[in-house]
Amino acid sequence: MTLGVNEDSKVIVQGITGHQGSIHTAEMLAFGTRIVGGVSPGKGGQMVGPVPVFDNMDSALKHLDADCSVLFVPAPHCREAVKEAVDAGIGTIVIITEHMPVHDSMWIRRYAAKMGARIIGPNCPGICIPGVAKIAIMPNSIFAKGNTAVISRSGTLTYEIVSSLSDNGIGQRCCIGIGGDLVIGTTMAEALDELLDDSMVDSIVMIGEIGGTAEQDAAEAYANKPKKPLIAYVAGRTAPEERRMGHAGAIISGGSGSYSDKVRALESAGIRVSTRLNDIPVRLSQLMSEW
Amino acid sequence: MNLLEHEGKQLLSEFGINIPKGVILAPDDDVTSAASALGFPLFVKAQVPIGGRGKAGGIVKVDSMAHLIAESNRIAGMSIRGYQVTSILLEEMVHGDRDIYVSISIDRRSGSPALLVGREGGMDIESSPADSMTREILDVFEEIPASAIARIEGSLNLPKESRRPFAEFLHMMWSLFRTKDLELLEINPLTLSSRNGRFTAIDAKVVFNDDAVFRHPNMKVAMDRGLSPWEAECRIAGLVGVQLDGTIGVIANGAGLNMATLDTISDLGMTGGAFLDLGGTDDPEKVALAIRLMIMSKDALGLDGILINIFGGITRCDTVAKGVLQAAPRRHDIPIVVRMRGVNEIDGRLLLTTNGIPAFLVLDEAIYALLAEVDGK
Repeated sequence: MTLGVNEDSKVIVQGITGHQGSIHTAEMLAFGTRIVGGVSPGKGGQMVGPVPVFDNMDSALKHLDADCSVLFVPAPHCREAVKEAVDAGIGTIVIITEHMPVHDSMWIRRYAAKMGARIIGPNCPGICIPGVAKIAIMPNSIFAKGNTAVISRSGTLTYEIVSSLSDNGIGQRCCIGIGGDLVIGTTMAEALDELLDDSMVDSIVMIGEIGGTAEQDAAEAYANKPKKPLIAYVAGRTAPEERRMGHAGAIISGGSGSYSDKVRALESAGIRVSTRLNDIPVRLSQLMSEW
Repeated sequence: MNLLEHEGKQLLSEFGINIPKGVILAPDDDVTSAASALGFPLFVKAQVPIGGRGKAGGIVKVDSMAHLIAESNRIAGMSIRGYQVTSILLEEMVHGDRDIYVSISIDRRSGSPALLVGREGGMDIESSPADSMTREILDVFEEIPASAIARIEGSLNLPKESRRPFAEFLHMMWSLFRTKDLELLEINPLTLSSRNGRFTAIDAKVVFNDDAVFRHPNMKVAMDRGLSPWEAECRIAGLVGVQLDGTIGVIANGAGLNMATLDTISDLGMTGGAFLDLGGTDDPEKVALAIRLMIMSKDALGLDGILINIFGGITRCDTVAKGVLQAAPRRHDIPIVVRMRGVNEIDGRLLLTTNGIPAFLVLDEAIYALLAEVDGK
């Protein structure tokens, strides 16, 4: 079980009839994910491939059981859709959608905490457990089964790094895309905490970027627990200050969230930082052999 | 998106917070009638969407009409760190006995808003001693709790008659922060006049959360503020462009991938000249659009070469390659190299190379090839 996801997870796709929703439903099914239903207001009764569509979560849950959901819902409607999922008792909610207003993100984070639900994202590629389940938009073909866990703030950069791990015979236990926004449902520190306790994980790769204190907070979480081999990489070493580099959260603001701050905090906690993208598999192998 | 000082103050005023009397003028406007209404001395303030105006000479106190005319002419013509002054604010001088710092911002660590109050207003927040500041994490579901307000008022040692007005002021700030989808609401200084017990916001920095523009349509007009003309063009096309100081433009499908590519280019001895993020898409139309946007502005951006890094997800790489070729990149006099990985990647790269665009699987190889072409020119 990783962040509430395992081989028994039953997933509802919210926003299933949209372009992204329908394409990725097919991809997730091909990966082996148990997609039990979909929600699209006004489209109840339709099918997306083998998946039945309902008008809302309540009506879906009258007909089937589900414990996870994944959102391909336009940003202005995300808060409402997440609330619907939480109220329906969904335990793990993965938000793929980008451009959610930050006040809505803060609201859903607070609401989920109050109601005991877990949120991953928004603006994230999802969570994938090779051979088990994929509640994500990550391409199926990049993964190989193994024992390395990957945590990342990025989308395609994650695919790049996972591919290079697979190329080098380093298989993955799981890959968690926490998302690139200012406020997210599961932080890097929270994800790391869980992976450090997971007996199926023997090593970790953490992919960060400039902006905020995610890596510094994760370093603190690492320092407080029994260790596992961990390699970190931080994108944006050459990014200018005070500019938003694509992701809402990728901004060095008032001197805070710089590359050097992050590397310093990671190294102080005993975490090895790979300064070059291509070196990650080699650095990890090296560390594993020394461990 | 950063609001101009006068726009921020307008919002404060709408929510019941006192601001100095002021008149906003375009650079060419006549200052004399505005000055008569406000009286001397008064402040002349450049309106630009960035800080550091004071240090740049963009905020001055004037005490006569002649002084005012000279300074407003000077400030109206200023450019502060690349931003042309588009308006000036003439403002009355407000007398206060105490300056306080107050802000509400987003604390990323807890994913909640944070209220920060400092005893030493009017100075650079980063230079304030830590023990002069009080911080309270706020709950988006709640009003600011009385206990938090009591702690803050205690730390400020406010006179008894100021406590109620200060509490009301904090509630107004909280209401404004939430209603207008702000990322930052900073008042520095907030001046307290013991004579009349009034709190007045002397300066305000307000940052709006762009992603909320769909529910604040009046903010739409300023969405390109702070962006260069090329960056604004990218935004209109649904892409994110950031102009950089170097000479190699990078187009990639993902912000993290783009940043990592720029970092790798730097590792191999070149400098990033432009960041253009396609987002997670590998849609050939968007790829073609991005390439055209970068090629057309190559001179304005100061580019010697372009690297395209596509990690294919849903779309097959040969389809993406067709998108690249649609932008007719070979017709333009700038070296372009593609790095491409994903489904049908061999067909994709073959299609590119047979049409004169070098294409590689390995990023470092693509960068070295670009370096060779750029050096060879």
